[in-house]
Amino acid sequence: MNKLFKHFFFIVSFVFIITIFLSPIVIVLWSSLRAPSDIPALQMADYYAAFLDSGFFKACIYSVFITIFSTGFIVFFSSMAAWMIIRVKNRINRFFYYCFVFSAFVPFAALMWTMPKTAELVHLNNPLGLIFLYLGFGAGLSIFIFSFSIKKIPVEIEEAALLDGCSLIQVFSNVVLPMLRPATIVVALINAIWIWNDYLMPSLIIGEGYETITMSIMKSGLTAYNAQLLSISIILSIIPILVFYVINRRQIIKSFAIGAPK
Amino acid sequence: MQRFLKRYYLLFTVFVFAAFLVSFIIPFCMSIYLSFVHFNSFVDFNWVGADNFIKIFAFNSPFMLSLISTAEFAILCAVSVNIISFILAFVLNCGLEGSKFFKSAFFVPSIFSGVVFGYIWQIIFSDIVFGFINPVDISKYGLWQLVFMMNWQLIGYMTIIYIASFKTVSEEVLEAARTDGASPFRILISIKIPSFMPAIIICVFLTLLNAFKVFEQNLILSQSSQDFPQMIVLNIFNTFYLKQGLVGQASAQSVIFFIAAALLSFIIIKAVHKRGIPDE
Repeated sequence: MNKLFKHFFFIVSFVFIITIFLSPIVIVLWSSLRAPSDIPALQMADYYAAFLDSGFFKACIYSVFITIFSTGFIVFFSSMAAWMIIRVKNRINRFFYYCFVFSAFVPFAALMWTMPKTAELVHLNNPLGLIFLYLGFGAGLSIFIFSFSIKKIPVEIEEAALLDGCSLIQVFSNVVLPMLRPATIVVALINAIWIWNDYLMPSLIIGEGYETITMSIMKSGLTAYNAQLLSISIILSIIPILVFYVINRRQIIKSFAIGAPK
Repeated sequence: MQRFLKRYYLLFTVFVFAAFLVSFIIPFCMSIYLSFVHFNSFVDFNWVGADNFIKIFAFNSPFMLSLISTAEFAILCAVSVNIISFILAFVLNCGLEGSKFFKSAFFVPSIFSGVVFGYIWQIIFSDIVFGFINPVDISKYGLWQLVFMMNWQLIGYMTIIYIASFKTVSEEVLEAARTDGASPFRILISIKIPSFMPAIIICVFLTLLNAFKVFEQNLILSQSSQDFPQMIVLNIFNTFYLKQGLVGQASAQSVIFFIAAALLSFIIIKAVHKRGIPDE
């Protein structure tokens, strides 16, 4: 009886705490749905129409495009590079490895003027260029994470595959890559969440023209502050990531612990 | 094997190296170099040595003020986040039904972006809190708004790390200590605290790092009031983009910022490796 009571108390108190804890989201949801009180002439439909005009859905498409391709490129190219960097043993390679690890410790804010300038100089200040820059900037942490899993794969397996007549590309795709699966998931999740949520890098590198979701929210907040339009965009921007979180809950929680510095 | 690998080396790595060069090596070296020059444009700059650093560390310079408020903010966050999440982890660790669900629910804010945080809080403050309190009064508590927001963002994440660390204390070791006649206090001092220590270090430094890097929230909330405290990244941003002819000084600021952030990340990575990667 006492145990049952304790359990009941635990559930009730935590439901209470969670409700308070997540109430900011509920308030924003409510603020996006209620009818505007200050301008009675305007109807909800007008608000939604204004919202549709604001280019938010275009921003969604750009965000999805940039996130998917950047994450894909990072996973694909940095797993290959990490394999080479770990397996080829010489001093230059060792140096490259430390360069990459070092870059994982540098936040973008420290490069917030020089990176956009460099990108402008080599004409990378467009969405495709941004994907390329994400690859370079995300490679450090990704190679660092991949390198742990690669070091655990015995070289003998790879040598045996080579002796059996695999080409090196086949060794990588058929032997190494399947063993890197857990690390691949972690790298993909860390980078996808980072890129989806990133504001400073796309806004400084692309600037005007191609807005991502975060840029669009920021712009609508800065130019004409309207709590209702803003709440609609906030709700729409967190729905994808919430769904993503509910599906990959365990993996995301685990990845966050590993990818701490980003 | 090595012969084969070397033949394909360039094919496997060239793309990453090219991207890395453009997005990290060149900008990074440029930042370091610019911090020692007086910069007007790419054709008009001259070497001034440590002059930029001397200027930014002058008494009451905007950078010093932002550094002080960032330090204040980071320490407040580290204390509040860690105390709250330690208690939460302690309660959730009792293994009662439903604690898994609560854990996942507390983690939800950790996956949002800084822009979303900033505007969620602005909507709440402008719609609800300002209804009761005079907005002028609340702008005095700008730092506390940020601390509050940071707590919301990080508590779930830290709770998970603490829960994982509680599981490292094995029941056998505690049992052995009890049979050897250790008092509960002794067990706490000699077994529990040492095994929680890496997790405490990770969480404290992670909070410090996150507080140090705060930008979007600060940018958004400082729109509403003039005397909102400026954190270090916002100050760097303003020096680069809003003021004229201070690129050298801003670069010096970003070098200082980078050194501090790298140091914090390094301590975290070291602690994570000592303890191993936590499973859920």
